Amino acid sequence: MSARERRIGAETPRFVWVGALLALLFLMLPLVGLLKRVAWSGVLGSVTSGPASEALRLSLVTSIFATVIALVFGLPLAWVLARVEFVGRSILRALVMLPMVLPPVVGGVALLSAYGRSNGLVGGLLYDMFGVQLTFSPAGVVIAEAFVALPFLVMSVESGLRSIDPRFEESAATMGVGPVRRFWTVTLRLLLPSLVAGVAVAWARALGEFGATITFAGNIEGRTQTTPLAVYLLLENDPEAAYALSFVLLAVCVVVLVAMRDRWLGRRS
Amino acid sequence: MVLVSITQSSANVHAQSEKSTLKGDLTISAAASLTDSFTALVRQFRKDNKGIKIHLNSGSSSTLVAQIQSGAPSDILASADLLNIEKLVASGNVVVAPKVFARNTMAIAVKPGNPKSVRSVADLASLPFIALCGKTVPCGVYAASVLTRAGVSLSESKVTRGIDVKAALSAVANGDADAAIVYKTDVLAAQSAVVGIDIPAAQNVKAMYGIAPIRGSKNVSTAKAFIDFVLSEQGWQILKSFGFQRP
Amino acid sequence: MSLVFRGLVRLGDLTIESDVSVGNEVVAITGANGIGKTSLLKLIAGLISLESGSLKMDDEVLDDPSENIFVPAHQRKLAMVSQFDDILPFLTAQDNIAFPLRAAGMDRATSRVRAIEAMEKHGIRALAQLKPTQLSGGQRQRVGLVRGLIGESKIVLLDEPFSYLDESARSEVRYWLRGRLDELPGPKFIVTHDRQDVEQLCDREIALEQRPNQHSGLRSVATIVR
Repeated sequence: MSARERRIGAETPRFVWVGALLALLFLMLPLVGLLKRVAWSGVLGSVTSGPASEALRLSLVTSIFATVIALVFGLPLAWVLARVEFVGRSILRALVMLPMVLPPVVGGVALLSAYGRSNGLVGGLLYDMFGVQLTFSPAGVVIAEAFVALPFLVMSVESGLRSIDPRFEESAATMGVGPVRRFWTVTLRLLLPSLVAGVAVAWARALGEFGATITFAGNIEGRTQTTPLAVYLLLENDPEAAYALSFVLLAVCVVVLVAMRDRWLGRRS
Repeated sequence: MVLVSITQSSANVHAQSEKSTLKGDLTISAAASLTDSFTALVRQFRKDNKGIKIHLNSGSSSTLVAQIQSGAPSDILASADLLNIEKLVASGNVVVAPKVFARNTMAIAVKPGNPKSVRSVADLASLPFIALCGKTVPCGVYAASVLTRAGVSLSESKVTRGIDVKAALSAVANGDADAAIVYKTDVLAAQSAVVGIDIPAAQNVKAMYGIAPIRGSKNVSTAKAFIDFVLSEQGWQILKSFGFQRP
Repeated sequence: MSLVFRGLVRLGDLTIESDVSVGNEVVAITGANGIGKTSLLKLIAGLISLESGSLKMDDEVLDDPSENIFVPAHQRKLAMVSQFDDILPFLTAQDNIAFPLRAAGMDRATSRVRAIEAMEKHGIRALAQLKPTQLSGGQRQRVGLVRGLIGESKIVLLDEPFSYLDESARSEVRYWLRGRLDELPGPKFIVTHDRQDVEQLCDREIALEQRPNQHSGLRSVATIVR
């Protein structure tokens, strides 16, 4: 399409421009404001010492574990939701999406009622039989983060699976490729963009998780005080460190989002 | 006839003072441990002053101070310690001398039935997880004092820090913390959700609660009226019913 | 070898019935649009299963609902070239063509060599390193054709294999195809609209015709017309 061609829909009314600009300002101003507040000279110092660096290290480790869990369990779930027909499938799908829309603290309370040592359905058993306590532990942080991140991965992968044209898998079948091999050599390769997008979103969500973490895993320095919790607490006592930490989180998210650009739309690179 | 007119006029005066002329909106920043008592105080105050709308903003005293210092509109601060109000005096947000309106002490909150048989502050050292308030939150500072006075030191890796005293209490009431050091009034407010263990006076602290109007308030007279109410006998009776002590 | 296909399948509104027996020959499948020609191919391929009747290849039963037998597509040793472009978008033309050989267990190097040889024979050697997005519709179709016919398959199923080719390319590919089909044993089916294809490539013809239906929907019956 040449630059001179005009397409229906390519002409933008003025009010759309205004709306778009306002939306952009609304989103960008807080980010710009944050950048302005960061005391650049001390940034590295703030985040490489004390509670801030502990929080960063903990966040990194737990969010990666949580993302792996989301991937390992989310992929099969997405498969079933996308490919297997059964009664109540759409209801199940809605329930799986629940942690996405649930207020995080509510999620934390829900996690307590399942995995808490004192009142939990399963947590009590775990403690009595194996002496395992998930709350107040890094494992608890991973659980809280995986809880909120999993639906994002499932959603992305399920939509990816649904959009794969069956003719590729069919043709592979006619070429003698069995179901398992088909999955690895054809389906997974075709699914890759959605899979990567799903992993990226899941990881970002896990990294930023606060409400469920603080409710379920508590706030123990070095053990369960992740970066978002640390920022919240530092804001009162050491605002410089809080801004510096916020900037680090922001930078990480920007890198991920920029790396993922266009893949949200499902376009192949 | 003269008697009748005197009675009438005094009746008029009485009727006038009941009809309050105070109007407007009041925002009160109150420490988390004051949530229940201040809700009751506000309710009573509004009965006598129907023209006023009151918004109660709860949080840890240190958070509230930070909010006010960064410009959050608030008319009154009721803090769980005098240190935080002093911060506002130092930053110029409070220009009137703060008044102490109540006193509180700390207590240990444990799960119903006291399953871990906690009897003293010393017993806390043997528990796997304790809940305290954040290090710079008043109740966290008080708890640190209590621990020091009792000669008990806790490893930070066993302490989950709640953002205010309600969160610390909740870790015991709803979560897996075995004990928390909170205000005695919070133990009372939680009723059957937790069991309280007293801390002897020798180890305990006197938490002095202060109240002051915030500079820049748009409702100076209403704010003053509320503070006067809190400091009045009627206000004190309400605070006493929640477990506070006379300052 | 012989393929005996006697049965019925219902796909939504469309009912397809067939009673044919085919030997080592090239058979055209003709009929109006939407009548079920592709579905017939898919039945033979094992991508759809019969509702009643049976499909037998020599003495091996591939599909028999009454006996609960169904051999899935990947076990049927066939080659199918679809009407639509199903070249894997993430592989080069050469690797696409090598794909069925790899699936059969050949190592990467040998399969690539075979693929190049096949492309050479067909005249598309130049496309080897290109990705499908860099190929035209006709080029992709030719890659698909070479890929489909590279293995040693017992049954060959081609669905409108020249649809994207212009007239001159059609005759060239038709010539190549006749040669290749002659090399393969077993029954070979070509779905086509083009009478020239039927005349130049096929020994026999099966037509799908619409027959009166007691129920609603389309009833297509496959009959040998030549």
